[in-house]
Amino acid sequence: MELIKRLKERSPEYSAVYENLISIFTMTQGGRAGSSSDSSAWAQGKYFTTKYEIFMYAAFLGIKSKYRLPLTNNEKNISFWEIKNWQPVELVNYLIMSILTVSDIDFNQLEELSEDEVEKKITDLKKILEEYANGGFDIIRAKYEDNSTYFENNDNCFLDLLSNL
Amino acid sequence: MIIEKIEIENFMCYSGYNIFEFCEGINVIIGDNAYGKSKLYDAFYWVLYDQIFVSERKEFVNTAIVGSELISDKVKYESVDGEVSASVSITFNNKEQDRVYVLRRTYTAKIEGGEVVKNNNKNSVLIVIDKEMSFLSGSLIDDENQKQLIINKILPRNLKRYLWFQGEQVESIIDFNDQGALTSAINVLSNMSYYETIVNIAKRTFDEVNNEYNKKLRNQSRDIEQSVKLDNQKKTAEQGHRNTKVYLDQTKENIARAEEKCELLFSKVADAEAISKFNQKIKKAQDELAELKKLLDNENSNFIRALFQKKWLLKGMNSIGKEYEEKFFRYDKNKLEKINKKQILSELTSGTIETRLPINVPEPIYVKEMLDKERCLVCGREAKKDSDAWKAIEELLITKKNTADSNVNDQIFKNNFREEFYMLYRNHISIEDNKMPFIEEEIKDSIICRRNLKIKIIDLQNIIIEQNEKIHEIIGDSSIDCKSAEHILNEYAVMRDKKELYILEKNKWERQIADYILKIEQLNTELGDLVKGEIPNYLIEKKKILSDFLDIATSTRDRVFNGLVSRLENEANVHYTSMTKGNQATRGKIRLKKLPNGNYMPEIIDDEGRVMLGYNTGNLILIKLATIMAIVSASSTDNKVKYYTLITDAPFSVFGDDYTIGFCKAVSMVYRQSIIMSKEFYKNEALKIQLMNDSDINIGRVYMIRPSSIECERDNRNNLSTIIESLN
Repeated sequence: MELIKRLKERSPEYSAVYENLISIFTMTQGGRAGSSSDSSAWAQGKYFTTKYEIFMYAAFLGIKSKYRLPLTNNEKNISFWEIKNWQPVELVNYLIMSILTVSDIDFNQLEELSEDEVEKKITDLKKILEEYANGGFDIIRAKYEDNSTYFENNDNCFLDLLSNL
Repeated sequence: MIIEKIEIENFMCYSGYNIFEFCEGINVIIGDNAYGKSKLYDAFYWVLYDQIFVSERKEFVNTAIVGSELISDKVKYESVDGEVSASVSITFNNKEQDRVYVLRRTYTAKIEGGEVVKNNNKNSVLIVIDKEMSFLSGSLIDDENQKQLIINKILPRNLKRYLWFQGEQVESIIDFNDQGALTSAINVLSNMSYYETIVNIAKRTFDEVNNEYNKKLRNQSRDIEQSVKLDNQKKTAEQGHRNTKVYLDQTKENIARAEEKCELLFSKVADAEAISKFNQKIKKAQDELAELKKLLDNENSNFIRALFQKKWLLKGMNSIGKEYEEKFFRYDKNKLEKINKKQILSELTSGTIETRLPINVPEPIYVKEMLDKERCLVCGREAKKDSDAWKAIEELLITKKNTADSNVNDQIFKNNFREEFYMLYRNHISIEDNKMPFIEEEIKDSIICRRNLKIKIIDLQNIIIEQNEKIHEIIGDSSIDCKSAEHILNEYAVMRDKKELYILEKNKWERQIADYILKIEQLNTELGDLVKGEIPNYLIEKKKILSDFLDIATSTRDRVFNGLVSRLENEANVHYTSMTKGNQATRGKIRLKKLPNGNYMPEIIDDEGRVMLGYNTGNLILIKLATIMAIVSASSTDNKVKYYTLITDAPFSVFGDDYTIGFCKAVSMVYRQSIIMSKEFYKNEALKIQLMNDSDINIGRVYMIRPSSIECERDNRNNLSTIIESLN
């Protein structure tokens, strides 16, 4: 039985509340993930060419700032591409590693669980990923609402946001 | 002769009855564009010449063509049936001769049903009244010739173009490219045709005596047949000489024209070259800018991509990696302990107890390397193949293989995720070693690179703005624009080449003429040798005297003409100096340069006689106005021209403030009375105050004019009239 491989089969979700925020910074044409080139993304004032990019960014932002925000059941949640399709793979693996690190899952114990129990743990890991991404989105939202020009007049905004934590 | 007043009734924008009264000095009518200044000029001109100036056509047209357009729209709009008229009356006062002339021109059109009747009256009617000032009533002049005589007395035909003109006509009044322009001006100063007549008489009488002399030579020949033959050859050579002279003159004419064109273009070449140079700089900067913008876009895209591709997203994430590393080692240790426990138990029962390294430590790949190298990579000792040490290492590989077998794992754990945890660990190590150390530096480099690109882009944008400003500065001061700059440079190059070709051609004709002269001299000698007896002395004397007479007549004509040119030049410089007095720019001096074809061309020279280049449109107009004034003032020795009034509309539209005031001062000096329409004083209060108070300006009456229309009436002229306000 494989753990990471099965986690990568999952499609994480994000709150529909952030759909507008995501569309401000992400190219979304051509389906769920978008397929624009890097230069056209820049020309259109977008920073991310796919949804999984901004999702990964938000997740790292949440992890780095230790801000985990559960998704509520009151809002509609949107799921998108399975993790196995995300790129670059090294970064995706680093994200999964980070999730495993910040989770309270005991690796040795994990190996002693039944298949159903492992499956549950995989669901927990996906949830942790979603909650940290949700935290990251909340940080972006707060910054945008507080000062939208921060993102307009600064090409380095998303890098600065990560650095200024 | 002074213009006392002009009364305008229903003429164009002057609806109803309007009056301007004038006195000696500069009378100024101030108004913005389309406020009625040009229509006032038209009113003056129409009375005397039955024509108005049409700007669109840049020419004067007759009443027959403009017809009812002469009549105020307001009057036409308010009339339903009947007749409507426009009339202008000017009162001239000749104090010296105690006479007053009143000239009144009227045009009447029919209106039916509120519309002007087509095929209306084509003619205006001029009434002229001539009266002595001392008497109240005057006599009405009926005779058309008499009317024209009076008009010519008011404004002589030969002076008209220098006294009454529109600003936009100035360039053509003194068009130095027009062969006759300066001669016409000179004729105003003196009657050059008198000298031309004398030269023609001298030529004719010399030709007569020359023919007589040649005939005598033939008749006294020893060999008449040979003389006739030589005479014919001489005639042919003389004809050739004359023809070649014509060609030479034509070529000289071409050289002069090319030179004139070059001179004319030369004043613009410096500006055109500058514009061209600035344009080239702009083009270069634009190309570089496009390239840099592309680079910056690329760099910006890369910057964003680098978040993912160069893993900049992980900036400052090192601690997470360390935590995972600890978690993974803890897990691995726990797992090994469990496996070892199980292993030891099994070995105890089988009697083979061994110390075990953790699972996969060292990894099989390193174990194989030790076997290949026959050396232990842990302690460094040699382990020759098949030696005990070598076998011990090999056993480690075999044991590891066995240990790694899932059987052992499966016996202890339900799942084995170690490979996956290990993969994450390797991924972290790889990023930790190969990416993390360089992230800070890479980000810094990228930011510096982008910042430098942005600085370069701003620099280039500033260069473009700066060059464009320079171009606009030149355009503002000259009559050329970006488009015509290249054209001017090309045309100048062509003209220069043409001039060189014409000079070669001229040299060819001059050589031919020299050959003809030599030939004629030889033939004369040969003809002289054939003469038997002597040519009568009276004939030789007569020929000599008439030849001298021809030389004197020609040189006198040239001397008088040159003297007049010199007088004109001096006068022009007086006015040019006066007009440029208030302006700080380098002024130079006007010189009328004689061209090979006898025409004259104005140029500005410095105090050492060097030609100054690059003067602008304002300067050119100034030179021409100075020349126009010179024609008037230089001919005033008989005190004649000062009798007449200067009337001009917008003469200084291309001038700055200093030139405008300078012009007014010069006008004060030259003209007894002037009437000037201008917009320059309309909003410029300081300039208006200077005009009305400067002691060097002999100010007459000053009026401000403006249309009566209120905002809602500006779409048509149906209620348009002109408000005249006297300012002094």
